[in-house]
Amino acid sequence: MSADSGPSKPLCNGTSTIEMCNGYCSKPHMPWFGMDIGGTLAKLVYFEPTDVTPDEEELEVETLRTIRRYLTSNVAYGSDGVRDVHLEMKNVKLAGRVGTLHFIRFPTASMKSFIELAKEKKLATLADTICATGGGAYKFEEDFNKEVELALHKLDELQMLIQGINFIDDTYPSECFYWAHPDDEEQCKKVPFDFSDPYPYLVVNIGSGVSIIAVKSQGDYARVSGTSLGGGTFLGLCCLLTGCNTFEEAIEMAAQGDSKKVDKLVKDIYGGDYDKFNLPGHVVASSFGHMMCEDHRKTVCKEDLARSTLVTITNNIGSIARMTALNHGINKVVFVGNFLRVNPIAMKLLAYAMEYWSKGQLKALFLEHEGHFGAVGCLIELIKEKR
Amino acid sequence: MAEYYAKSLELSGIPALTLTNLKHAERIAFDIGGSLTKLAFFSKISHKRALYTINPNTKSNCETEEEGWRLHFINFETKYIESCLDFVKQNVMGRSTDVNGKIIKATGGGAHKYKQLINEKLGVEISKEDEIQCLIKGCNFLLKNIPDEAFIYEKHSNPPYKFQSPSNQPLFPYLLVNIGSGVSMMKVISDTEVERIGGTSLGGGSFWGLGSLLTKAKGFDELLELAEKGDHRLVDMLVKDIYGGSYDLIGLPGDIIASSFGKAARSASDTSTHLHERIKKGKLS
Repeated sequence: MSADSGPSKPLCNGTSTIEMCNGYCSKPHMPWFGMDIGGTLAKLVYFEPTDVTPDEEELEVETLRTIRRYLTSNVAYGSDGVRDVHLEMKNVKLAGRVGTLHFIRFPTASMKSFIELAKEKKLATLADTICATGGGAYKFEEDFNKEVELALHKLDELQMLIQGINFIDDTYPSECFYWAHPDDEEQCKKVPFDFSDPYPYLVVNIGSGVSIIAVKSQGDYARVSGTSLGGGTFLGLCCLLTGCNTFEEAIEMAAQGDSKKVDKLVKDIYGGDYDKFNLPGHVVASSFGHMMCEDHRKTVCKEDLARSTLVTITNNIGSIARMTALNHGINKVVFVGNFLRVNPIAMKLLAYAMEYWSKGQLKALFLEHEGHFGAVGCLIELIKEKR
Repeated sequence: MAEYYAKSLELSGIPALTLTNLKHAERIAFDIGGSLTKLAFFSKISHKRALYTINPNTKSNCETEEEGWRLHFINFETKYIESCLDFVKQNVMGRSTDVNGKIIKATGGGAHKYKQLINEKLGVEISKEDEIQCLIKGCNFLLKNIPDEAFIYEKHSNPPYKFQSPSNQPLFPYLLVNIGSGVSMMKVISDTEVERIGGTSLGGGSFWGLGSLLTKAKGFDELLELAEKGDHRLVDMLVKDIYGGSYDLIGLPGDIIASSFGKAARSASDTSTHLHERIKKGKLS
């Protein structure tokens, strides 16, 4: 503020409504959100300030308080919104404030309900834009404009993903880990990995579909490969094959199944190993390869089918990731995305496969916050914005 | 065009002519794969050839009879190998003179697995040949000698199939993608040198297996028929289903599949008969 502008106006600290704001905002208006609207899931990250002074609390607008209370006192929202409490990050410093990061997700299919909720809570009186990424930021832009009277500041999903990963890894202790002894049930365990000197690395983002991004240095990244056989495929096929309805059910079934009854292995074809090409007998030669045979179909149960679907999708992703890493001369591969949520089977399979097929040259890494990075990236972007 | 070449015959309805050819087979070889067993044999056959110049004075025929070699191909499911061996024994093995020695060459995983069975049924020794060597020998032979063997498919051209003649262009190196029950990808460097550089377990066997689980089709051919009628866009999640259009920043058009079967979870309760067809198409892609 210049001394020449007459009587000085108080700075808006972002906790007033848009109407009451005098336009001199030192920070963006609360609430601080980041959204990532994907093909199957919408991810929301909410920053709850915990350094609220008594003065500020008095001035806090009713609407803002309502939203804050609604989000932080519930772990379930509506019929299918969930807050991942175990991923909560306390004492996070953002733009001069201190607070807790909350991670919320709900099916993109319920976007209409979310929009209704935002409208009901009068979100538009507090913020004029929401930073959002993912395909849904484009697909639902008009709905947000019309119903909630909010503009969506659309951001690129890959850029937000990388930005989110960088921020969380700097902020959350032991964010990055790998699996030691992934093929040994007894000895298998999570080991923290120091990701502070990460470049170059590959990010394999397993959402509905898969994108593979090569990150050469800060700001130097590009999508180099991908596959349409992702988490959406696993869920879709499982639902068709087993009649299950949710991701959690599919994972539960897979945990109890045996894929060897469903898949045709090298030894089923060769009667042993295929030595010439170093293919041991236990390797899968043809996924679902026994299922054209009615006798075999009679001996398998739903759990076996779910397991085979999981193994097939996971191994295919691992194989493509490995070949991509080889092509780009990168030996650190980070797997993220909500496909890996509550899915230690897939994580361990990826860890084992990467190590086995690369003879120890490649390392499979994982991040605790799974599929929330895009939303976090958006939150960071919001804070960067100057008013 | 390719469909005409690849039309299969029911073994029970095998025409007498083909049977005769089998009886006169000079040499037989097997490729016993994970799902299918391929039998190749050649026999001498007589055929008529049209003459384009006729001498009016001699009143010769406008056609002439010639003898030549014909290469035949038979496929059957490996699970029926015993019946097939019985069939071969009845129709071929009976003649002690015609079979070239008492050794039959075979390849594929089954050459290892069924060696004993073949020995018992046919009284012959199997000479196990390496699958990959046989594959490239066969490929190279056909590519160098048979016109219209290789073809290119261009979706928007008319006709879409463009057949290639053997040319003087160097054949090597080429990438060979063998799509059987599973898939092997090989770099073919010469007539004998080959390197397996990759592969995937998602092959023909997966399509056949998943198709058998998801539809009521009986057999591979019926699965293909279903797939032809289906619309995968009702089962797969396309980029435009997620973005509302194309994902311009990385150049992904709206019609590209973002997540195969990505819509299947929501329509799992859909019991319409068309679901089967849609699913088939989804899996082929």
